[in-house]
Amino acid sequence: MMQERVSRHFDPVLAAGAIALAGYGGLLIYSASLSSYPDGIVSLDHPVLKQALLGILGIGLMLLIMMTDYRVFGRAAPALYGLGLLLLVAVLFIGDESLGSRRWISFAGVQVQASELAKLFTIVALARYIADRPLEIRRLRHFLATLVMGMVPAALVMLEPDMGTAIIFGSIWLVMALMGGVRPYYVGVLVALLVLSIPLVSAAALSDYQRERLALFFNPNLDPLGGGFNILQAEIGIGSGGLFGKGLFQGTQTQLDFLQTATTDYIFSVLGEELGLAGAVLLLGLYVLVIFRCLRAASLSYDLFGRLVATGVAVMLLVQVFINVGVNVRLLPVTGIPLPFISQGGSSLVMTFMALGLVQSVLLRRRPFEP
Amino acid sequence: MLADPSRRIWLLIGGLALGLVAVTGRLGQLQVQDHAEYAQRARMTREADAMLPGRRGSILDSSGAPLAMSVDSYNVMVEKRAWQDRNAALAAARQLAAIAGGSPEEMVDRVISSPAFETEVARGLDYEKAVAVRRLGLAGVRLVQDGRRIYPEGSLAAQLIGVVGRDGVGLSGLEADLDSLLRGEPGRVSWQRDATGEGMYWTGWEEVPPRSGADVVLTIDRYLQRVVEQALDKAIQEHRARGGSVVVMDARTGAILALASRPTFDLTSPDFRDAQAVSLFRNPAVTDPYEPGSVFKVITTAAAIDSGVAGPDTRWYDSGVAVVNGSRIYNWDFSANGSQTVTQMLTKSLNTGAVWLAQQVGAQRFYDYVRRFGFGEATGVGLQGEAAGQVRWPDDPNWSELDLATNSFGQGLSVTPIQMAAALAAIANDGKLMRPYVVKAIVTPQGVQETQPQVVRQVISPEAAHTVLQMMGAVAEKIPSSLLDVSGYKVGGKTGTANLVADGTYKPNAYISSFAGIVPLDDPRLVVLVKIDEPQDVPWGTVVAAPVFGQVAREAMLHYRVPPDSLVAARPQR
Repeated sequence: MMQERVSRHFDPVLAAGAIALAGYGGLLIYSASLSSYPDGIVSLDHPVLKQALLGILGIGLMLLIMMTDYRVFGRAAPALYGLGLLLLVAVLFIGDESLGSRRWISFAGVQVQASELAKLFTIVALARYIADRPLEIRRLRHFLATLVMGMVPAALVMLEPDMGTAIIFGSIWLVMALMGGVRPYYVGVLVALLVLSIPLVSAAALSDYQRERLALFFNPNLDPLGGGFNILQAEIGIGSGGLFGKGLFQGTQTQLDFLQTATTDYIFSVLGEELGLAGAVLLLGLYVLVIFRCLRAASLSYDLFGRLVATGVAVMLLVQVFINVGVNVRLLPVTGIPLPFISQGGSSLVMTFMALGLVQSVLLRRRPFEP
Repeated sequence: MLADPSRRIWLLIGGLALGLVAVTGRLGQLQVQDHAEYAQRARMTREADAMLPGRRGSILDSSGAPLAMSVDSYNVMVEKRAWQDRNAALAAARQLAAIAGGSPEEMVDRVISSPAFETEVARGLDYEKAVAVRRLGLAGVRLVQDGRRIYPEGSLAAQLIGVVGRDGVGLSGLEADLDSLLRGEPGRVSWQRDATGEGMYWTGWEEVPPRSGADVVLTIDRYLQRVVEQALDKAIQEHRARGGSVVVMDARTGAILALASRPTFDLTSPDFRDAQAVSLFRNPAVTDPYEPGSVFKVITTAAAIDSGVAGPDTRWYDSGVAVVNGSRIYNWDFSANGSQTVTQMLTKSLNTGAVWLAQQVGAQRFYDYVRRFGFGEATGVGLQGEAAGQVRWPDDPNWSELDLATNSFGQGLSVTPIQMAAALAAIANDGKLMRPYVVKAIVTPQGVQETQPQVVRQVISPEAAHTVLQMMGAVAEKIPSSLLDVSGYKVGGKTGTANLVADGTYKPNAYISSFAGIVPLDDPRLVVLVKIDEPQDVPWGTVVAAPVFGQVAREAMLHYRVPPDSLVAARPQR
């Protein structure tokens, strides 16, 4: 019976889109690490190899989650949410510091980015909370409850500090709450309050590094060899790529090491430089495909819980892609967000596959009774 | 629409569309609209280039010994960014100053106050010092290859060689005249660099090699030039003169073997501060005309002999005065000598005789000879700013018979030392006027281009030339050996003393003493013109200028190993 569900409802387009994205990412990581690994893949520590292994792990977990009834996760939601918060608190104390920020926790030698798991758990928890109260959700009390659920993990990642991920938590909450049926009026008031408090927040809550990033966003030439360096190099790289790029492995900004963190946060610049506008449009097209397949799953879902989970995953992907690409093309100030499926980094890759496993699980069980 | 939660999905889709539009719009701006600009910036980030200086050609003497040559040198550049902290900068500057010289404080001030990204703090370092600077490994300090002019003979022939500016462009003398030949063609090297600034020498390395400038070989003989300058300095010192010039010319070819003038300047560190200092860069032997005085009587005599109106022994009656157009012309010593030969006119340097002789030749023919000897026009020696001198020709409305009279003994007209030397060389060279020249050859990688001696014209017949030469010998013989002694060689010559013309009038008690000499007389090799400006003790060319000729001629005959005319043992020098 399970095989029938799989053959009938499994979304091969969604899976293929995700795997295509991961493959595209592998190619770009290979190019971006050529200057460090000029001989290509000759040893097991090559980043593409590690990424491929983690991709296989991610696909395995995706299938495992797909086979599991998504409602199981719904029942476990409080525990998962608690685990997510625990991880976020723990990372502040025992996390590994890198580039001035604590984001990773080590388990038996494996580094895991706590916020990646917490994102997924928060989606599930929010979906469960709203789905349990389909009508009461219009009340202020429940609106505030969802707000707290979204804001606590957001505040914790802010402490790491990781501004970008906090924004993603906020976005996930906003869209899921709206889809779940909170009164738009409350959201409007909240947004108004936020806008009014911008001067206060920028004075009190923004740390020096964030203010500097804002200044450099508007004018990277303030510090062209320091903080503005990579902003300029990314912009130059993408701009010099032109319509069709300089050719794979031919990007001078990338291959001559002008571009920093080329395999992770700035991998989009590698793409822009080497494959040009054409390559970027192909990438954006694949994302649109994957996101729309998630929204399709949401609209086909049997219940509100499934719909909200699929929507949350779609929002998470959308916001992450937009922030990462926005930073690369200098539409947004610098904030370190991985490009889903593409950037080097196991936590993001595995978690994103797991998220798509949830979406597939929702699809597979869209009909309670199959003839 | 917002009321129904199931329709709120469109909010998300709208957000997605908005994000897509923003991102693709921005990509279009970067990758299509401004692509060219970013491509240029990408090139600029990774491409570096440097100039390779082309060595400036050398100026060599006739034997190939360098008078001016360029050697590789290095300039020290400092990046402003590296010297932001004054104390650290001072520490670095002290290390630099210990090698390159100069004041560390001044170095730091110059770098910090400069608007430029990079500032030069020291220049002209030789290779060893440059290596020492590089070994310091100071951040932001870079060496730039350059060329430096050095002068192995010091300030020898300073005005002739001329000065070179800091940018390696010749500013005066031959350095300026031959700049296009001497100047090398700079080369260029460009390469790609990575983000650390290190060049990547295995790819994208392009080099246009520099081309060296041509070497210029002069007719100047550095030994003779040294002799001339020393003799000139000695005479100027002895007679407390203001300055002077000496021209030594090869009588047969017109090649200038020595060309010196005083006052001069320090070629090794020229002074550009004021007009006075810069005016010393001129070469007065070619740029400054003077009244030749009695030396010009040789020209008058040559005209008379060649035209056949008189011979060496033709007599005339010297009454001590010549009256022309109501003006009275006397001899220099106001003597009246009675019946005299033309030769005596020359030996005693009688003005009245010269006037008589010129009148015998006639104005038209006399000025024809003056012109044919090359006066009134530049010789074409190939030096910038050469003066033509001034002669009032008979077709000039202001010309009068008095001009003919005064011109006959070298007054009322002006000549340059090089013109005078060339004219006398024509007499020494069977009447053939040669074009004087200072560049013997130009040596380029393509080959050697040698200057061929050039005959301007036959001015007088060889016979007339020989006659005048013998008369000049008679003049020299009458000069006491205490003033003129070229042991073993017969010489010819003529003295001159002229009033100095300044601002169009004669300057009182200011004279130019000169002597034109030819050696050896029977087979002339050299013509030497000596001109001493404003000697303070005595004005007479015999006393002031003739000894300079004597010294130069003696040394030259030994130097060129010219066999003596007679086996007379050299008299011991006083």
